[in-house]
Amino acid sequence: MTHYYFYILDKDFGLAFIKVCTYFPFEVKVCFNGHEWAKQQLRQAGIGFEALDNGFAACDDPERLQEICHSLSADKIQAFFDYWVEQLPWPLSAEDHAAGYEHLPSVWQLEVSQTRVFTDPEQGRALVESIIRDNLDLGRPDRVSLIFDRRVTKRTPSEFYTRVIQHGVLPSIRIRYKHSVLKLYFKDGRAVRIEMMINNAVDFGMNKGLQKNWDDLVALGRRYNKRLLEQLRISQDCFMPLDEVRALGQPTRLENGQRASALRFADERVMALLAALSCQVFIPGELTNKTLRPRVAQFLGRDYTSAQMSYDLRRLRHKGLMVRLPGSYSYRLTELGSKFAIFSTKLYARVFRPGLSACVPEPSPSFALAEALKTAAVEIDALVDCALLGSAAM
Amino acid sequence: MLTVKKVLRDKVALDIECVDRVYLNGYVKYLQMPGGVVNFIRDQKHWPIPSPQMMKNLSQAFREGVEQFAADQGIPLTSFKKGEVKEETAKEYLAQFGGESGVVLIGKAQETALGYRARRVDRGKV
Repeated sequence: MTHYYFYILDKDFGLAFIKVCTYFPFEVKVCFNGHEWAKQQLRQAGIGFEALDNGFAACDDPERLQEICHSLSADKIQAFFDYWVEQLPWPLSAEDHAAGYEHLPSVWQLEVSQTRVFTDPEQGRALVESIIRDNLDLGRPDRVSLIFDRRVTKRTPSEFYTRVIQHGVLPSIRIRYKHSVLKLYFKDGRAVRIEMMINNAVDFGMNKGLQKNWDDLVALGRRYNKRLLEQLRISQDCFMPLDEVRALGQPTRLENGQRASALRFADERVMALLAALSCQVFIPGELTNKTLRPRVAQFLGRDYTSAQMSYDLRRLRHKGLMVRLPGSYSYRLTELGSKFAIFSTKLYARVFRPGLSACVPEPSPSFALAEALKTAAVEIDALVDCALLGSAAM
Repeated sequence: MLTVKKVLRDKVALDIECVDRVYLNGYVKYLQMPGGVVNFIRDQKHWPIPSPQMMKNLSQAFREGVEQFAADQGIPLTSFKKGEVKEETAKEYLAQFGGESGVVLIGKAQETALGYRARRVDRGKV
């Protein structure tokens, strides 16, 4: 079907387009960018800024800029839409509008972003890459994708994966939740941008109508951006004091006398459970027995029943790693839970497992730690021999 | 050691939270169901039979209206080719656009869309 794209320059919204289908019932799409809207407001207010693609690299008055960005409302968007419906040739007449046959705007896709421009872009890039590295080796390649500027097929050589930090590759994390996506990427070599792309408001139990839902949808986007940032902070700085780790590894009793079973480090089932939880840390939404169980079974590599999942959810709750949402069987990780899951998984995957493998009788000959342990063993033996000789001589 | 906390606290020149790209869908409330379409044709357009011919007439009138609008206002009307980056083309026209506000470009494209299909049901025939 033929569609007309009306590319318009609006004094408030900048460059935008309105697409109208030429066939009944004349579907309409409108696309604009909130950053462009903010730039137009800055121009009108006479405030200087430096653009970073569609965002901002610098601004003479950052506080005023943030106020402007927060002031984009449903009423302003509705006024923009109504104005251009009047200005453009439209398939439905004024009489049709008066009879109620008018186009109503609803939110089809909304992106809410948080951009942090670095004073030292090199450190910023190093940070983003370390975040990606951490997420890759926590066993979640299904949710982490590197965005290439070309199509990658089955026949594409796998060497593309080795070019992560080279020219033409944008390091990025994409976390999917139903139809929506939470992204983190390095923007134009100067800033880190976190972006919540809401592709279907129904994913979050909301409706799409512009007037009633705009504020809630924007608030939702901001909340998940902050949540991702917070979880990244926890995952990068997840050091835990020894007494906290020790308390989680011991069976304890609650005030009401209930027993809270231990979460023993290196126990196969506990590690599978924590690895599964560390994958869920960034996902917006609640955890349930049904959603978490297949993930634990995957890490465990064998059957894991619903009853076992219930038992584990109960001990996580009693240890303060999770809270149950009132009136439901859904759970949410606490900050301690997020920290413990990531800390334990990192410790096990990066230190404990390779460390233990170095202690077995025939480790890999190239493993430096194994060689060092061998040397240490020889030195200790020599020290013991020396000590025995000394005592015998006395 | 480089940590998220340190870099985001000490190495950030500007921190801005803003709505980025927004797509709105414009829909006509009373034309979402076939019954509403029949009412529109009969009651609003005063056609005794809910014929798809009326939809064709509306489409034709709209197309002619757009072409007339482009000719009257001196707005470039172009057909987008398959795979063409429409935004880039629009930016080229924007660079030549003189005013503060107005239609920069009208582009035509062939795309899939949801629509209604009518069929004739003859009643009373054996």
